[in-house]
Amino acid sequence: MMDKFDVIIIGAGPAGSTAGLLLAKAGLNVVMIERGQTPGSKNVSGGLIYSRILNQAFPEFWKDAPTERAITSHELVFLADTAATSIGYRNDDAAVPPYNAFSVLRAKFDPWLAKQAENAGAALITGVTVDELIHEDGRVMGIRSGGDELMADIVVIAEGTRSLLLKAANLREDYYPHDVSIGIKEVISLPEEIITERFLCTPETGTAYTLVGSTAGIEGGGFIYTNNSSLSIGVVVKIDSLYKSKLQPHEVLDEFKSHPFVSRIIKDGKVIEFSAQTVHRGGFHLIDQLYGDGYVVVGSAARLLINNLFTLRGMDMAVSSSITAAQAIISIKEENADFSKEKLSKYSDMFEADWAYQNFKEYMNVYSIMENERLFSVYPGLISDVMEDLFGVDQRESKKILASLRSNMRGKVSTGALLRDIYQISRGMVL
Amino acid sequence: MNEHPVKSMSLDARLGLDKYEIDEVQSHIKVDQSKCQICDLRPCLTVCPAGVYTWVDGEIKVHYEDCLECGTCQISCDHGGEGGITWHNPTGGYGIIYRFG
Repeated sequence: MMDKFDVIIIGAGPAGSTAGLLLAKAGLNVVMIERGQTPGSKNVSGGLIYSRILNQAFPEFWKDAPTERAITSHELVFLADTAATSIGYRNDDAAVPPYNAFSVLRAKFDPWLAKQAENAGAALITGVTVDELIHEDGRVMGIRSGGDELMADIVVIAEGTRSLLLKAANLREDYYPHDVSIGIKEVISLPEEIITERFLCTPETGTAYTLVGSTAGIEGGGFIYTNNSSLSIGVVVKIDSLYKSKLQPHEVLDEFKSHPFVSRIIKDGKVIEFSAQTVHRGGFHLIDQLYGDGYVVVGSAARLLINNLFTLRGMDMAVSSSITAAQAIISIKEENADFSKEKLSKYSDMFEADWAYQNFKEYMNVYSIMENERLFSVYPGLISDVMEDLFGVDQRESKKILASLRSNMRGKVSTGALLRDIYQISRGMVL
Repeated sequence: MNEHPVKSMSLDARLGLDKYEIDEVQSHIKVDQSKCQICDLRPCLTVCPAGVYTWVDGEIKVHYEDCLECGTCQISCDHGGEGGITWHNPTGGYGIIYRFG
């Protein structure tokens, strides 16, 4: 094998394979290095991927990509003791191209993405862990793996959420337990017809639930997504809150699975895989440096993730940042192949002009909501208490919503705090 | 409080569902026991989803072969503990092999 490439891409996930595809298509000499035996075998997502950004890089991917179900129904659910209050949205418009989102299982989906890059001419090496970046005075020149060295004009770092290589090279900030969550997930097998019936969908379409509450009081939430013949279910909880709780991750998952709303959804299902992954808090304030001399960072390795409480978007941010990085690299290559920090700032500038980045800005105030522990400890219960007053008919005095709220919030949250929280939530998500 | 408890699977039973290619030669996790000795919180003992870390005979024992490669231990140890854990990616091809992900 030649020892000098135009581009080395570290990681063949959605970020790496997108860059691989676009750069190879433009005629660059590209190698992707993946540490798993096959792409996707190290990767865990919730996993929803939103369609429109992916479609930019992989046009009409839905025709042959191994996606699970087209998501046509979204439900936000607040769980308290035995109660659940939900807001749902269904639209069959999302069952036809260009769709909105698909559930995916990464071990099936990622190999397809990587294959498209290979078909365009990118080389793929699997089962090889990159040990370190070769760098001098902050300039990245290649990679080292085992005894081998590979050099390139530019290195695309797409190694995912751990971002170990940048850390070892002192090229990124340290991560703090406060800013990182752990996702604990199970894939639960259920017959396709049962899923279709249970979720009131068709064999091709499905539902995504986002749930708040029933995570043992730990800041975070849960998800349930329908696949073809399985469910993806999990909780995502903040790491610092988790270790303060002294609970083990699977115990938090068990509490969540035991809530009657959840236990009925997964009834008779058989767990077929247990997985875990760290998830960055994401957001506008935590985007890392995206480039430097001789390298760019794409996807989760740069903490590019949007969490607006309704949706948690990592994969399409990975694709989006890679599209932009590839465009910048192609234009610099055409110019004079000078991949200096100054030239590569083009990637960051272009990304900031992109709508994906504008989404980051739009939701920059949502993160303070998720810092607010009342969202997890008080409000799911308060909502269900008010709902109980509205729907529970007995001999107690019948109350209108405001009176019910006033009596139920007593001792749990002050009026001032509630008003401040409503303002904060509105500012973050509504206004 | 809960009328519908889910029959809880043990952690071992869950890990038994997963596929691994175990590196018999070397662990990808190194622990500096001197730091663990002075660590008050030892977050690794609870945060690891695979229960890789246990406290046996006055020191941390590492069951690296069960690791799900999530990275929670390192972040917890660096900032909630004493920084005794050094975690590298396993040698290429080894470690967890997700069949679904």
